[in-house]
Amino acid sequence: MKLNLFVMLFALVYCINYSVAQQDSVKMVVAKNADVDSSGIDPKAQEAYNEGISAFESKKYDQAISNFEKALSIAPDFKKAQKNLAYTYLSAGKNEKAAKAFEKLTSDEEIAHLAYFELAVLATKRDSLDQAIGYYSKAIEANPAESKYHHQRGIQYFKKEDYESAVKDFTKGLAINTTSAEMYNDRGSAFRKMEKLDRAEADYKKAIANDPRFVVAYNNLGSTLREAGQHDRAIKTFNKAIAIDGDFHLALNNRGYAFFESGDYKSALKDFMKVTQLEPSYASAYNNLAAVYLKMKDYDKVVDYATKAINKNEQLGSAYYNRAAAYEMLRKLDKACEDWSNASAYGVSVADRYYGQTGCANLIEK
Amino acid sequence: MKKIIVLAILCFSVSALAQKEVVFDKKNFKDNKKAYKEAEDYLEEADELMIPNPFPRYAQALELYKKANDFNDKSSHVNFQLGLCYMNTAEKFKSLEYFEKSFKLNPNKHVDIHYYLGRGHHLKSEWDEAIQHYEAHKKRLNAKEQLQDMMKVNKLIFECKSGKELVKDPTRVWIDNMGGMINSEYPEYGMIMTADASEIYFTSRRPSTLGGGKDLMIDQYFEDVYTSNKFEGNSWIKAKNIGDPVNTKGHDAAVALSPDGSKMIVYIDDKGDGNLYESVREGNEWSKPKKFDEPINSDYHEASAWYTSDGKRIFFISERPLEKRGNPKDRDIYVAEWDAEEEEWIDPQRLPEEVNTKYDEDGIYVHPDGKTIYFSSKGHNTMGGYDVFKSVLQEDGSWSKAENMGYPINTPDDDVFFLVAANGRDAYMTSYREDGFGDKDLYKVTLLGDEKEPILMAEDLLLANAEAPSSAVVIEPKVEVKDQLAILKGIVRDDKTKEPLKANIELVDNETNEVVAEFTSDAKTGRFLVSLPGGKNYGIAVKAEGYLFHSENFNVKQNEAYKEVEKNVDLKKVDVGQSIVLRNIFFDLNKYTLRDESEKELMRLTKLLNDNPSLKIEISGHTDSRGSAAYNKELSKNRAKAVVDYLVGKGISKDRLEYAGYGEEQPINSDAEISKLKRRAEIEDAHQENRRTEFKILEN
Repeated sequence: MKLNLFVMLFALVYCINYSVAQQDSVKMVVAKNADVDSSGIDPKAQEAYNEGISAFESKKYDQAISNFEKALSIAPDFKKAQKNLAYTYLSAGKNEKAAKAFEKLTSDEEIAHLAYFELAVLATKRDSLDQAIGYYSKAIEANPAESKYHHQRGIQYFKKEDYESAVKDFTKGLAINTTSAEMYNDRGSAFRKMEKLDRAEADYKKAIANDPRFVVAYNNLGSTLREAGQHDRAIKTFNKAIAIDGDFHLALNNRGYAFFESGDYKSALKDFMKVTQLEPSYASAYNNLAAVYLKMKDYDKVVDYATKAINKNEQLGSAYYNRAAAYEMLRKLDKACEDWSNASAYGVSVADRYYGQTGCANLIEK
Repeated sequence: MKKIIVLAILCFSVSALAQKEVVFDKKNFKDNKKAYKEAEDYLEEADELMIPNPFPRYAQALELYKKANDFNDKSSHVNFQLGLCYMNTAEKFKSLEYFEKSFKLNPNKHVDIHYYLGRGHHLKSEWDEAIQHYEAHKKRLNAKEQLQDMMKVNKLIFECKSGKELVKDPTRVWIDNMGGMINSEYPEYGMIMTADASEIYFTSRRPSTLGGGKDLMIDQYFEDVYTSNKFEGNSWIKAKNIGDPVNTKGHDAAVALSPDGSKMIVYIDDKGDGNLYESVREGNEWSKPKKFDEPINSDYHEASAWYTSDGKRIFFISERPLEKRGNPKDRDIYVAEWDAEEEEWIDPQRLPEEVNTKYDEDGIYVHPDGKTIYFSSKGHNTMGGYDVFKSVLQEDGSWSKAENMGYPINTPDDDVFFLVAANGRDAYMTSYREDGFGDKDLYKVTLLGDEKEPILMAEDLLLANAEAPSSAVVIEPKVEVKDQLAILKGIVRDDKTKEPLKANIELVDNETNEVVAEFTSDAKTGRFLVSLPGGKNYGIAVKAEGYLFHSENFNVKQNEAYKEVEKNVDLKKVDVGQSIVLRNIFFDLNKYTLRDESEKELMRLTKLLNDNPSLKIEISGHTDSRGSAAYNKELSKNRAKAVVDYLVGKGISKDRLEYAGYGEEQPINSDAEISKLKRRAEIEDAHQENRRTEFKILEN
């Protein structure tokens, strides 16, 4: 019979009191059915806990927090309440409190890996990649058989541009979960970043084999082929992504890029135009329309579309660059200089050179 | 074969379009003798001007031929001469029109007509047509006797082919006229400038030339040096003649300016010798030009020159032969070093073949970077006449292969005097263009560089899910809120002596009929203590040797944080006359069938009888007062009998057992007492207490 700690403690205390009072000894007998309530937790705490869950389910997180906190004030070791409180903090967006609550839970061996996982998630949200990696490492230590932890740590390494470590983690994760299309995709991308395009291609294909409707992997495979200069294959791959999801604007945009690089400006324009219809706020598509028109030497249209792109994303360096190139050809050098300056500020390094070559400093300062 | 076809088509088209020539002969103009005479005079005078003396005077002849042509435009000769004049004056492009007309009027009049037709097309960048005519011209040449002519036309064909290639990939430039403050209807050319292009000098043939004289040989004003600047603002000020001593009444041309504008190199003809002079700026005045000593000047012709930005070297053009006292060579580029100690230019070196060719080079300009030279050449892959080329001094001292600056900087005509400012983007050149102010003008060339490649944006979702993973929000479920464990406690004593007893106590969950605890009371104190879940109905049975067992039911209520139930039990000895209520014997309502949960109590009773074989007992049934007395009596009797039957079934002798039904005759709670109760539950409990089974010891 399982007797919980509470019952035993209670019995002990009771016995002592009783014996002292009565000057004799009597054994506490526990009925066989006494383990029906195994929690040993004060019902008031349990009631507060249950009310907390009701509030949580109604998304009344503040009330739920108050209930769980009340439960814990009555029964501080009420594990379920501790856990629920931590998740409620999380749901309420009180991430700092959630982090503290999960830190407490890491002392419980049974759920330590879950707590570390949540701490890692919170670190990721703070963009603290190193912290996230640290927590995922602890989660892996506590539960090495969970492929998700390897996958997620790999993602953090990827974000840190430590692609070798990322590949190692993805590979471990895939050894546990051999059919994860997402992990194959992510490892493919890591290989792509390492310029191992053959291996990238192979992984993207495995991702697709495991999930034949995985448009993201098709898109990535298409882009890999485009970068390798295999425009025809790239276009065919993008076609497949678009056949699955005709509204997948990234694949349309990338196919447009592939058309552009293969010299088919008309098809490129068509794709980019479609993207602007699907995603009217997607600045890159307007920029790409501007880029095609720049190649076609239709400078007025370049200005038009690049301006639209900038209106949607005022930090889109390439749009400033393309518009500057058009302004130069329209012989509006003051505007070109201003745009090159902005393009340079937003990461287009070549714009800085053109700014200098055009003698912009003189033009503007005078 | 292809050429034959082309020529056949050419001849066919010519004959088809041929017009009838009308030569200048008085027989042809009998009706207009006076006008003819006048036209004939123009013609004779023009023809005389075309005789080299030492050069043909094309500009003057052109005006006279025009007048003759106005009278009779069907003269193959006049049209041809007009073509020649245009070709050698400013409006070169017009030449083709007259050569073509001359050819149409009389294809056989001029043996060299295909050469000139080729030149006309060549100047208009009509490469294929030019090549066709050059090929036609070649056919009329005797390769052995006219080798030089053959080589010359081959060169022209090569130029056309170069031009054809060059125009396919035009240099990205803007070419803008420098405007009315600089240019005029007269020729402007040979611009030189400071490194920052803020001050310029150029040569012009304007009426404002010093002395206002004209060079009668060419019917143009003498060359003078003019200057302009944009020291204030972005606009050029009106160009002015820099006056003497640089300018004289004769030809004066500035060819170079030091990067800081403090020195100027001037070309002076020196009666055909052609020498370079240097003038130094003193305040706003230029000193009288001083002739460079050897080795810059020589007995041969020197023309263009330029200083390097550090002033330690000078590049210049010279026709000097490779060997001393040899024949003049074509114009080549030389470079000399400045010996600071001796304060003289020394060691002139001819630039290698990457730069110099067997044809003329001229118009040297050294970029302020000190290593890039721009020059004009009739060699390399020129598309005609002088083209502008660029070469860069390499770190190992060699020169890069001359690179044609491309179309439209270069044209099939002469392209000379090309300057590039320090910023590498602004350049200046001399050009004759239809949109100009007249004759040659100065133009600003903006070098746009390679086409700016567009930047496209590609975007991938490299990571299938780069966002922070979703939190695994797993809320633990609700718990069933249980009572706090209740405590059942009490003392077992002897009913009479009240001495504590050690008794066996059995606790049964009446719902499940399960024995949930078996224990004994303390021998010394008779105490017992048991913890058990609340919310249940329990049966307690207490037994001690030599005593009748005691059984009782009780509820432990739910939803109480803590509950203590006290059950003190006084056991009766097994003596005759003692009776106890068997509280854990249950019957269905209005029936006398024993319910299953009675089993434990019946077993205890069986055990009591077995343990005390001499015991003889009476089992009695009792009801509450509700229902008829007779019915109640019968029911209670049958219930007592059911218990007896059970015991008999368990092997107890009938002789030891009696039964009786007392109905409602012996209530524990009288109706009077019950009537005092108000709460329904209490009333019900009182009736419940009256409904019972008892046994009494009859014998022992």
